[in-house]
Amino acid sequence: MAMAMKRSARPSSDSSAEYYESRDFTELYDEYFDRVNRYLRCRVQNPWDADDLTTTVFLKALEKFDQYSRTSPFASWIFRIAHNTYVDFMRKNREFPVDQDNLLGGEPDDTWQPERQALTNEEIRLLRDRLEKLTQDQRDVLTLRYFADLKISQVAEVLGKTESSVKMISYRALHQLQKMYEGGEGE
Amino acid sequence: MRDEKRIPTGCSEEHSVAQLLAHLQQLRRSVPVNYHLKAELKKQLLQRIKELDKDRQQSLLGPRTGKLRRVWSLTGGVVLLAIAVWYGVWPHGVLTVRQPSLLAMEGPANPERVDLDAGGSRIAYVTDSSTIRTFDLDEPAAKADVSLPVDHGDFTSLSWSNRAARLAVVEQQGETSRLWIVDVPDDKRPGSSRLIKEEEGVAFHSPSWSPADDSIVYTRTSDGVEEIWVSSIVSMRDWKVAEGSQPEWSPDGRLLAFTKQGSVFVMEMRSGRTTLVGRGGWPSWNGEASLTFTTPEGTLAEAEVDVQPPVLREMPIRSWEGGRLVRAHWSADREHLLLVQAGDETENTFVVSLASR
Repeated sequence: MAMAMKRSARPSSDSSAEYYESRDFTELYDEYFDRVNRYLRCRVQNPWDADDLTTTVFLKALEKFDQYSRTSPFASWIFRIAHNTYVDFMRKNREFPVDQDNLLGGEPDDTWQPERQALTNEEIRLLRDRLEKLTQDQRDVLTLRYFADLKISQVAEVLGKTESSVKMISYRALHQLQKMYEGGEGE
Repeated sequence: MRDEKRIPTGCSEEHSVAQLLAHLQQLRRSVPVNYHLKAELKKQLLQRIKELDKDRQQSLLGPRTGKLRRVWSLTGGVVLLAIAVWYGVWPHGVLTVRQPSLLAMEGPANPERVDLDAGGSRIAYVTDSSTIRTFDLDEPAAKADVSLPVDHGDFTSLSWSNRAARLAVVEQQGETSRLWIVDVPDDKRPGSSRLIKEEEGVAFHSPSWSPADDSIVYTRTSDGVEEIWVSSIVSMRDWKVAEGSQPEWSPDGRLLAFTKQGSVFVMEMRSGRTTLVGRGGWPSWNGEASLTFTTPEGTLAEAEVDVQPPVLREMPIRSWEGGRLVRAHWSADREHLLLVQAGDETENTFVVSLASR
């Protein structure tokens, strides 16, 4: 795009101190839409709300794109917006009471990935029920780490915590979750 | 399938956690992505990027003009303040009719054919069922027509969006009802329109935008039954939320006011809990938890709905010359109120006035 959204193209390296994100907004949108949409569909019960929130996230991101420094990973930046948007949404209690059949099953949608057929809605429901039994921090860490697919350092940046704190929360949350699975809790 | 089969027990703890991680990864892949939304949103973003480009170019060209305008605005503000102090009047907060009888409308008995934009500075209305006309309140004589690609049906109602020069318009053609989004043309852009929903055997009415302008709530009448539906203009999905008509979202999107069987109700969107507010119709929000509506006697009532039961009072309007109020609708900034009054002789004539705080 023409406006100051395309900057000098330099190689990106996530690991080094010389990290520089050179891609323009539309390229980043193409790459990150799926992850943001999945993250919000995992966190919000009603998939339509999740889609509306995804739209809000990318519209906000576009308006604020000049504030993105490009010397830190775009993933941390976009997921900070996504997470804050989700928190605002929950604070305003805007969720509709949802018919559980609408959650993932309901009407067929040919835009959905074919892999969805491989796992039952029951499994996703179970996971959501079990996540609900964890603390807010544990839920935030696990969903950002395993559903948004962020690195520990990126989760720490999104939530404003230290990496060691995120590791500890993640470790405890996984063990608690694993115990719930072993005990068949929530079934 | 039981979890024991998916995550075998009896292994070492690390092994079990590794199994759990694999399970979570598999679940992540199974969460569906809305690729239709991805394509539609990309178009919207590209359009917005073009607009931002234009705005930037203009702001680079005209900083001096902006400065001059600010100086003039400041001078004007000081003069107005002096006048207010001189007369010992500070009118803010008191609802006063500023522009009486600014529009007279004839035609079907339908007060939803006119609306006020978000800043209370522009009116849009349906003239003869087939033309949508807009004008700035500063220049009532300079009217502009808005065209839609089809001209077969009658436009029955319209609603300004909260954040843009955009209208939701209902077109009725025989048994078919259509919901359009129309971008009102201005100096910078030509107008455009998009069909959001089309359905046979029903009639849509009273569209209203969500606070973020990403959904439209409207009345859908089928076989005499009035239902309230929401259509997302992003994901293009729609769903029913209640039975009733004349829906209006609260400014924070938490509550939905609507009319049912001659009474106004408020529904909490999350829980679906519904509260009776009072007898009347055409609710419109003038605060986060405060709304107004017209009573059967043709007066304006105000209700505080964050207390149970809601507190009601009559809302005074200064310089209101009387007459039966049919509908009163607030602009999105809650500073201006569009008043639709029944004509003296027939219900088919409406007089539109504007009151401001």
